[in-house]
Amino acid sequence: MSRAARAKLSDLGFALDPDQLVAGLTVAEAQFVEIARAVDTGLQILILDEPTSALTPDESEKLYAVVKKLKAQGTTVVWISHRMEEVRFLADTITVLRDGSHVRTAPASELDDDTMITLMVGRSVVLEQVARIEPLGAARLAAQHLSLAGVFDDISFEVAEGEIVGIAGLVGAGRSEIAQAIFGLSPKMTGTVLVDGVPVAPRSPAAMVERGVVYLPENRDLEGVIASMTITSNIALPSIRRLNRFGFMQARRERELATSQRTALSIKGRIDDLVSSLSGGNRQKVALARWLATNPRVLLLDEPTHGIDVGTKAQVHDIMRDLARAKRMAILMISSDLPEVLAVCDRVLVIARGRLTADITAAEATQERILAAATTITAGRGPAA
Amino acid sequence: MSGTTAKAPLIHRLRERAGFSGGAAALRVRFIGVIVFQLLLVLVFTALAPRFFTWDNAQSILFTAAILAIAAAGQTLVVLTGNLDLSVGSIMGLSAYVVFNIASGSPDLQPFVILIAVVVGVVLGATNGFLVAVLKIPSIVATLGTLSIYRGIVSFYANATEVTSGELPRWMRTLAETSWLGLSSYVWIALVTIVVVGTMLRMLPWGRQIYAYGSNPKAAHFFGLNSTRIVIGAYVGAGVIAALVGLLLGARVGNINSLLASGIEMSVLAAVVIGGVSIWGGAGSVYGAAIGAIVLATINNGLVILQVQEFYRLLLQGLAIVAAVAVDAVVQRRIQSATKRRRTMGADA
Repeated sequence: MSRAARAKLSDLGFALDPDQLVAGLTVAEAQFVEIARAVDTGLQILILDEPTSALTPDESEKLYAVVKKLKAQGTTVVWISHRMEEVRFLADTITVLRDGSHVRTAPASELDDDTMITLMVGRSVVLEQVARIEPLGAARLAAQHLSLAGVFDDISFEVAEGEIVGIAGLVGAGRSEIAQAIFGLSPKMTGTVLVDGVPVAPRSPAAMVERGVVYLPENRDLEGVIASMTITSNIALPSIRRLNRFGFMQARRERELATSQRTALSIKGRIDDLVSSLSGGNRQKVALARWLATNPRVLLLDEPTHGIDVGTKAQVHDIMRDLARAKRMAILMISSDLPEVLAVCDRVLVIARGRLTADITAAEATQERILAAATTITAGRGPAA
Repeated sequence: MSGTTAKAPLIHRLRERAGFSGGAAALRVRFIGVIVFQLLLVLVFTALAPRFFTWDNAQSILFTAAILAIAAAGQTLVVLTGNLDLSVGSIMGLSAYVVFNIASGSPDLQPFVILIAVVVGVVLGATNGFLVAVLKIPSIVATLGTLSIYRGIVSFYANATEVTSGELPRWMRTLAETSWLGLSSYVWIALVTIVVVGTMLRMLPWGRQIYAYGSNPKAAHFFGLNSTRIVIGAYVGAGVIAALVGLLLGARVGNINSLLASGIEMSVLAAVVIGGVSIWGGAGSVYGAAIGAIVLATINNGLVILQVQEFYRLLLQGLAIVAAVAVDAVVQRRIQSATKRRRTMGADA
């Protein structure tokens, strides 16, 4: 059995030990096992839903190769994706859906990127890079020698008032863990965190929210919102103490708060709707709104536009720029979407294997440079650039 | 996605009816379902035994339901966080015995019986909360343990003796026998307790946090809520309420031995579950739990009047619990599938 499995895996171009438990594999490896299993069943149609969202570019390449191989063997592949490049690279026929309804199916050669985006969004969207005019302020968030055993090591950086700093790197490099530790989710972290020059101890999320540091988690549905509660409850929850009168919650003030945030972020739906009735993009806005309602000073955003349609994505970018420029917030954004990082951020930090391998300004940053730093195997200590 | 709401509001609304907001709708149906079930019970029992439908009998049902409903209000707090408290019966027994024993031993302390019960409730509840929230022991195991431990303490402490009603503070005995407006004082106490707990859950930040934590513990953590404090708070609330119910029960029963209220946790849990408080946490209300208590009391009363054997009574109670949880499972699935469907649509939109 073991030998057959090994043959099957190497057929597909993976070198994995078939006796290993799936639990010990990386996301990518587990995904390959899943595919190998599917292929085994004399495959006619293979449907892949956002298969590369957790893969490194390298691993994605491997998957593309497998898919092409299957295609050559006569398997029909349905590839669901947000990534233009890979759709362009793989697809013979492209179907565009919007709001759960079919918009158009056409041979890939007939659709260029602009047409596709227009079909997806209903209008044309460009990831625009907006040159910044306002000067940066003093350091709002400063991290000094942050370490968490086995996860990340000696991370130091600053985010200035009004600045948007991106954290790039591969999935599993420790980016989310750094942001979460700053938000107080890893009390064992060592090092110093300063907010507006004042040292704070990131002991719990509650303490950090108090200091104006908030974190928007990557997994929106499980961690970002409470889907079975209303928009109002979600938005008001972190602010309920502030909205009290004599210890009692004030339904009217909660609704006012929710209404103003709903308008500010143009959230779809009424404020009494359950969050579960909203689309991914709007859920993300609700998740963001609850923090904005607390008037934070530092925003830690973890893949804020992951799995969001192109139109809402541009809206989120605009919101981020506005928060940085007008509200003078310091924004730290983790993103695996390099074009997004380059378009939105003033500066880019690159993390590889728990180390900071590059700290580059937007002007100097290119996709190649970021990728090179992200895949550095022998990561150097401290800022390398 | 832009424009859909403006262009086709009707389709949007129909979609919602079809299940996108299915969660809330399903919960409403669930609540109404319990009331309908109660009405059906009354109809059936009345048809089978005419003397079921009398004011005397209604009083008797409400009295039984009152004790159960107060205890269920406490249990609701814990169940809303997605946990269980199996030790309620033991807390009631321990509190009743300790408080009345102290009160009968030193009459000076008699005015403070309620305070002593509250302290006992806080200590026992906090112990449960500590085991579940800090040591992360699954609540069913932790409170199964304290169920035995607390009962063991009463047995040890009681040493096979009893406190009899003559030794209780006089006002407690009087209270147990008083009626206002034709209803036992206990029914009024139950009403007040339910409204107070219900209002606290609705109006206090603490209540909102319990619902938020119960709905999604992980997200609550990322919201900056202190989950340890929320869970311990719920157990302390349940403990205090159970300890006070112990006093009421003791005053009514008269002879308090170490077995007072043993086994009552099943009925309390049954009331909560039948009343539509989701065993997965985050959904339901004390009002539902109170109706659940009335349903249970009605079943018991009706079967006694019909002279049905105890065995069938247990069978029916068990069936009611399983049916309620089965319905909840369907409701839960609807909520989840509504969430999931939206999620998929959102990702593709």
